[in-house]
Amino acid sequence: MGEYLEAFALGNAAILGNVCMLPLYPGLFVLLADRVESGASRRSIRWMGVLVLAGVLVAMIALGGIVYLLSKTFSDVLSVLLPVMYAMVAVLGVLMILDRNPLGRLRGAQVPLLSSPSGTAFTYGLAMGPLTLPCTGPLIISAFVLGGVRGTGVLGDSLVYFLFFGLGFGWPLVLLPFLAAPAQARLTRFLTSHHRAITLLSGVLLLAVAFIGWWVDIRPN
Amino acid sequence: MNTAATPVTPRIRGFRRVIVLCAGVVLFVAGCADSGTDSSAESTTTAPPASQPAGGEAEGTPAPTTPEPAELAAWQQIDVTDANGETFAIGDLVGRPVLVENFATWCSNCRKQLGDTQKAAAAAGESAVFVALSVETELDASDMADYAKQHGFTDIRFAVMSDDLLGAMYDAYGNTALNPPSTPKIAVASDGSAGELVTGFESPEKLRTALGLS
Repeated sequence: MGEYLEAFALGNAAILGNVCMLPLYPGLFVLLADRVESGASRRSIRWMGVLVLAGVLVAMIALGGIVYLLSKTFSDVLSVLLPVMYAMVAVLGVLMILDRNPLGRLRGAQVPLLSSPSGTAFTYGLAMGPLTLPCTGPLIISAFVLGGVRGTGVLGDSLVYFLFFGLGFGWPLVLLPFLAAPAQARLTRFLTSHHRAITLLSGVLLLAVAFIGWWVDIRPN
Repeated sequence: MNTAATPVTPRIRGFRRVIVLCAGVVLFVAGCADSGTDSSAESTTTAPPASQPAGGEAEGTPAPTTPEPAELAAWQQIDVTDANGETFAIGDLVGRPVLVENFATWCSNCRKQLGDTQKAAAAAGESAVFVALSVETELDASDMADYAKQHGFTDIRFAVMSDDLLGAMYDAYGNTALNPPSTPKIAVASDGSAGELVTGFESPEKLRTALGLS
């Protein structure tokens, strides 16, 4: 258990030392604002962060498994994936600045998974998950390699370690909606009167995150 | 026996939330302390697997005039191939202190730490060996050589871990040794005794001190 707590603590440290989690926050703000304004239940708002983080962790484990099975490294994958992902973040930012919020439009999608608030949050986490790979990719790959060398018991141990690490860097995502839910009435008034400013700010933040991501993760490689 | 549930009042709920929040803050602060976001912060996580601590003798034992080679841990005896195609094991480097740093090429924390490790390595010259081991076992040696050259890490010996070495590292130090963003490092004394696993950023001076260099 001590090692898992250590993983949680190291995950906390990763929040401060990396840009990996930054792209998730502006989108979560917008998703939250959208749900609060649409009068979603407190319960569904509360669990949005958990679902976003679950999406992120599932995406990372799935990608780690695929990369391991293909005998590739994240160096191979990220050199292609990250520029595409950060370009997507930049496009998302520009759309928000132009007041064309694509995350809000997901609510009207015909796909059942996307039309429910929970599904949208989980899908958002899945889509943004690869951006966190520079922080977590080697760890998840090691888990699969260790599983191959030492057996499924060690694979399980390493995956649990990874999940604690993920909880360590993702807990602010979980906490935000929990803090927002009790203040829903006040938030609704605030969001309604400042809707444009919030979308604009989120767009600018996403553009900034895309630039920082390019500067920190892509440019040096 | 009264089995009726006690009603949870708003005050109790509020109290619970405060406790949960406090616990979160405490864990967060603990995490920050371990993070190594400043060079003074470090986290020693696992006892050394060898019979002696790095560079030290058991309390009360007189220091020998000529250091006896320590018993090497399993991970020190596993061969790796470096970026130049030369095969070696960490245990082959007995006679000089060695810093072993596990990294990944896409890890920004690793890049930052390796920058300071490079400074320490350049200052140490031939008096110590600095080894960086990729935890991505499928990494191509030429890609690693390009990475080292591109970032000017010219005084560090880069190598890719084999699956066996990855497993032996896990056996000796656990998952944290294979978590590059926490910049895991192990100082090995000149007699071959491996020290504890240390995480977090370390300045060139602290790295030199850890290796017993003046």
